[in-house]
Amino acid sequence: MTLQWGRSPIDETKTDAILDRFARGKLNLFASLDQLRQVYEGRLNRKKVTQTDFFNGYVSTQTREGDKVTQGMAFDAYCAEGSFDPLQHKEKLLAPLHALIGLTEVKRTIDELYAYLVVQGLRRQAGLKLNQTVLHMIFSGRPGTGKTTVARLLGPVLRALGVLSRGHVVEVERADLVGEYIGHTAQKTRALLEQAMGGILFIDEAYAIARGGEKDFGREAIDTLVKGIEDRNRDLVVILAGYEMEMKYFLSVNPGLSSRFPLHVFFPDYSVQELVQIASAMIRERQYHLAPDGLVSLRQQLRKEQMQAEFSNARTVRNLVERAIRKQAVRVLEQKEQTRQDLMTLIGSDFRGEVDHESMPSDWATGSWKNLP
Amino acid sequence: MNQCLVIGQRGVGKTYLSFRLAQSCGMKSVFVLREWEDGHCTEHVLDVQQTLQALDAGESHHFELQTIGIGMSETMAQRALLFDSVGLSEESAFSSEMRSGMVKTQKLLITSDSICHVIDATSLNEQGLSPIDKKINLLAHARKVPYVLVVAKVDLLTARRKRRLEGMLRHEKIFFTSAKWNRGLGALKHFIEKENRENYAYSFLSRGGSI
Ligand SMILES: Nc1nc2c(ncn2[C@@H]2O[C@H](COP(=O)(O)OP(=O)(O)OP(=O)(O)O)[C@@H](O)[C@H]2O)c(=O)[nH]1
Ligand SMILES: [Mg+2]
Repeated sequence: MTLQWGRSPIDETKTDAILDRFARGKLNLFASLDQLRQVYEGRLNRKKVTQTDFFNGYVSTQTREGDKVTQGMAFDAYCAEGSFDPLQHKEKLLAPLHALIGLTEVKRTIDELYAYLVVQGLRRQAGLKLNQTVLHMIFSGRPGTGKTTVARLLGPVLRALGVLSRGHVVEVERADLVGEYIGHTAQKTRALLEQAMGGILFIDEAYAIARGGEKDFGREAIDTLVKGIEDRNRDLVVILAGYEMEMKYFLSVNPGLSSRFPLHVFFPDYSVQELVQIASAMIRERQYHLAPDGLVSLRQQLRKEQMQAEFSNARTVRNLVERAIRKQAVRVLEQKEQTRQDLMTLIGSDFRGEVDHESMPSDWATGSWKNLP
Repeated sequence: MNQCLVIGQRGVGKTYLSFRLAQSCGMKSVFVLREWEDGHCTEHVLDVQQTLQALDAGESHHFELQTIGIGMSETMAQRALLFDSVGLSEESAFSSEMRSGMVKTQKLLITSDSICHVIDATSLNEQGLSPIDKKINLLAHARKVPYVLVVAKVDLLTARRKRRLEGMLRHEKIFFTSAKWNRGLGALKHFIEKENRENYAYSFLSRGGSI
């Protein structure tokens, strides 16, 4: 009896491949059901990594069929034929990263990593002994310093270098890993590791996993994670991210973890100058521009914000800019007529006043924007 | 022939429910299709009454590893095939027999014409469906086939708890059933029958039939 469902025609080779992988124990039940659903939602049909559009021509379609990774003209730093010179295309590959404002230290670390991986490839070609490459990383820094952004940009780079086969980034936090009953946590964590295979598992606020104390399942999550990392020592990069102090403590109480995460990248707070650059970029992107006094009061406001405990770098900047845009709207409407110039300009008074630290515009509710000078 | 899949986690009462449905169709005995590992198919007859008694006594039945198809022909408006499938669970997926059974279940999950998703009333907590059940639910909705949630073993619930579950699952089409006391099966049967009738011509054609 051949079964076929006509209402929603789907690619049977895809579902067969998924079920075959499940049958051979390569996929767990969760991942299998997930992927089957994605076939129906048409998600697997789309191209996987969109950021790589940038590298078009260098990284091309790499699809996973069953377990076999078919590589089109994708370049692999480890491949013997040097059809692609990674040194020559370094600029292009790392351009999105270098386009980020500030983060000099981070960029340097990534440059080093890049050089290291390329040299490993060359050494392999030369028949020399290879160092063990463990690329699990710790990103520490205050919120809004670009940890997630860098992780997302790293995926395609590592993929282009042949370290990862897919280069996607799975972003998770405590709630995604820790379950509610015995055994649930291991299940959840394993499913996520499975999902992240071939790419990066980015665990935000990683120190929070162990927060729950003795009876908590956080312990189980960490143990499963450690074991998962051991079992899958290839084709997976795990990044733990969080505040510096908390991460230090977290690693000190979990010695099993720190030895497996050799790369430590510190994300410093942005300087005022960098914050202004970020703000200007955001403003330009939204098709506004800063009047000279706008710049002055933006800088003042940023200095003031930096003192606050809730200051979260780029995120605060975004809130500041978005609030200024709302205030400008009110101000412009109160004028008799509005020129094109008026619609675009942000002036000093738009930036003054208290900033709400949530992304929700709470001052709409309180009406504080009405107290304009 | 339309195919209705009875799916759920292990031990939620799928087999019991399937045989009760057969019984409520007035069937004394059912033809059971069984597909073996090597792919060949056998068909044999089971006495409904006896099977139900055995299930009620908690005897282990032999259908844990196989998908069985029950031909519901007697009083259904159209002939339908009810598949009682191997329960899905992450824990038992380590045995290769169970695993191949689960492959079959998943295959049916993406091919059957309608889906009866059975959950165990006593294992439901405040968080709603369990993770596996959630995945089944999402997949069924993504397929856009007729889908019902069957809350089985409802005899073990207090009336108050039942109302809570009703509230919690109000976004789904649900039936409360108790295979043990033969409750709620009529409504479920009517639903399957109705979907079956509406779908019949369509699924017949989509399988390559011609009028
Ligand atoms: N009280 C009560 N017990 C039930 C009911 N339905 C099933 N049971 C009991 O639940 C147990 C499991 O029922 P099965 O029908 O074998 O479950 P299953 O879903 O087929 O299990 P697998 O095939 O192993 O996945 C049996 O011991 C039944 O007696 C019900 O409505 N009420
Ligand atoms: Mg059964």
